[in-house]
Amino acid sequence: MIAIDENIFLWINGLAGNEAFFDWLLKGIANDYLVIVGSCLVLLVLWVWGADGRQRDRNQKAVISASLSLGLAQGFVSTLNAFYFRPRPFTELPTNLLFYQPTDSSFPSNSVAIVFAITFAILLTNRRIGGFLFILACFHAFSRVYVGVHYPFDVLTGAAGGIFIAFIATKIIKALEKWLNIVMVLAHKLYIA
Amino acid sequence: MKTIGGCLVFEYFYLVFIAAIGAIQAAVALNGLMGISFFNRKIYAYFFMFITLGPVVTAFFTWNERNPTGVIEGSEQFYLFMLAIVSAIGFTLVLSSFLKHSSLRNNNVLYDGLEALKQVTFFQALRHKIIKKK
Repeated sequence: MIAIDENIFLWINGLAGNEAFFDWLLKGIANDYLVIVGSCLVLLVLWVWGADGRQRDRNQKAVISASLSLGLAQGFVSTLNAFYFRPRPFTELPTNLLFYQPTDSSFPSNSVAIVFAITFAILLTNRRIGGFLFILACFHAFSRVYVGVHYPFDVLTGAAGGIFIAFIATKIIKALEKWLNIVMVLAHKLYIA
Repeated sequence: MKTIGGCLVFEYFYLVFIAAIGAIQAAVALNGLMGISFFNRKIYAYFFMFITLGPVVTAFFTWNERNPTGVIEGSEQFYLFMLAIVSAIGFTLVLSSFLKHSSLRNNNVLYDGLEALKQVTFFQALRHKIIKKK
């Protein structure tokens, strides 16, 4: 399994350094800020988005679910990191490193888990915006391997964890709907929802 | 991962702050929430979105080129992001209420929630609610 993971890593990372444009593009997409901040800004836009009150209400519940997913995804990665440390690929294999050298565990990918958790929490409610975020998340996951900071299995586990957490968060929000509605009514009265 | 310097933190904060203001203006223009828009015409809001979000996206895209070893830790990033978003929302509510104060003064508050901000500013809506309670 590890050998397959390393071979796929070497193949994807082997593409780096051939085309300056792709290196530049994927280096930008791989960084820790662009896609995460972009996804969170989409949540902000979604909070006020809606043709009518009902649609806005649905979107706002999706935003709450996505925010919960974000927190749970961060917890999921921190918990796994506490029990298992996997060295970064550039410390073990010949790597075309296009990025700075992170020192935390390679497994699972933190940023990929967060981005996929947000994406799937939105995708369950709003397919158009969720679909856009999904494409962005896939590019981000691929770019993390391309620039040499993650193995493919790290990003796949991050993505799978993020998706699973989004489903859990949506279930939690549904279970707490009665209480959530009370909070939403209060937010309505204050003109913030 | 280590945080390098206060400048990085400040840079992250103001980039998110500016991006959030641009994103909010585009979203409120698209949804007709004129009470929290800085502008009277939607086209100005879209232009504002481009001149705010464009440079911010570029700045985040090139972050590692400008700060090759500069990393903000995950939890610190979360707090900074939340602070910037709350500041941007507060700034938007105050500035839009100030700019639209006279043009939306005579409108009635017909709805609850964000829907009300199609006709009045945030502070006009709150004032109306307080007066109605009295």
